[in-house]
Amino acid sequence: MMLYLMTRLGTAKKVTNDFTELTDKRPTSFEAFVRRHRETFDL
Amino acid sequence: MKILVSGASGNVGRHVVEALLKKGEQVRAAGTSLDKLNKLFSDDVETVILDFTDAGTFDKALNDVDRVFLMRPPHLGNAKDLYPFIDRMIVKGIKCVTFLSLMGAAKNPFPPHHKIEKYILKQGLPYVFIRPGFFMQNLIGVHLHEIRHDGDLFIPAGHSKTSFVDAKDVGIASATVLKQWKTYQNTSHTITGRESLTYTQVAGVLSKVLKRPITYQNPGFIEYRHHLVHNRGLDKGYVRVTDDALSHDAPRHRKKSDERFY
Repeated sequence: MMLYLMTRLGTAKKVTNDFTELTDKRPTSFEAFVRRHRETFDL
Repeated sequence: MKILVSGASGNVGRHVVEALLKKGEQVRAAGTSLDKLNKLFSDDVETVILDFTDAGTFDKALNDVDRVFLMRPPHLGNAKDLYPFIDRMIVKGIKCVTFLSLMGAAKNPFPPHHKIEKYILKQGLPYVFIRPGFFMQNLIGVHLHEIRHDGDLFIPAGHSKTSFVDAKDVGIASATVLKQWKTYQNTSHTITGRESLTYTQVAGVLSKVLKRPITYQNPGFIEYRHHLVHNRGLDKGYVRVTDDALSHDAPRHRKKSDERFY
């Protein structure tokens, strides 16, 4: 709960460019992540 | 010289190992279960037991190693549990420790990552701090149960936004700084996803990809706590969590639905 209290206060929203600076790649999109784990979400 | 990867069977650690192998590095994968490590990695990865609470395991893990990926195991909530190993790394002349920290850890004194960062700085161990945002993997961890059973994202985050990051990307970033340790020595990097999403948007992406409706009804804290404690039978202390909720690793071989945050 503490975690989501913090999230509500905006502590989880920052987007940085650090991953791209280190790797020259874009970070994985949420949609790509869901597709990769597609079957995990099913019962 | 080799690179020691702690928490190597975890969600970030195994990607650190894979990415380092691709970069041609020699890797020693460490954890508390050899069985788990040997199942996960092929024969070209050396495996070793490392228990931060047992100094007798340190030297075998650190011999012939010059760089270390350090991850605090979720069950060790006290920063001090890692100090003996940090001290041993200094004695063994480790050239770079890449510590898996947390976004905002420098300013937020509550998670143990804050104290661990400070201790590494104080002791003068060459470091890179990798500070990830909230892991996408939490949605297939503690929150998977409601997505599967109820078609609902049961998370009390209000209308706030989160820059969800893939643990795999965090592993790749960590491997990059370990490979190029001279370039990145004594730097910190906050690793996030490419965009910040509300949970309503997350539910939208899930609905689209899974081709079934996933809702986000913006539950309150009391409702959330009640549901997890009474309907899911989770531990009250756990639900109140600060430490575990902010921790990163989890066993690779989960049962049906893992109750832990990454």
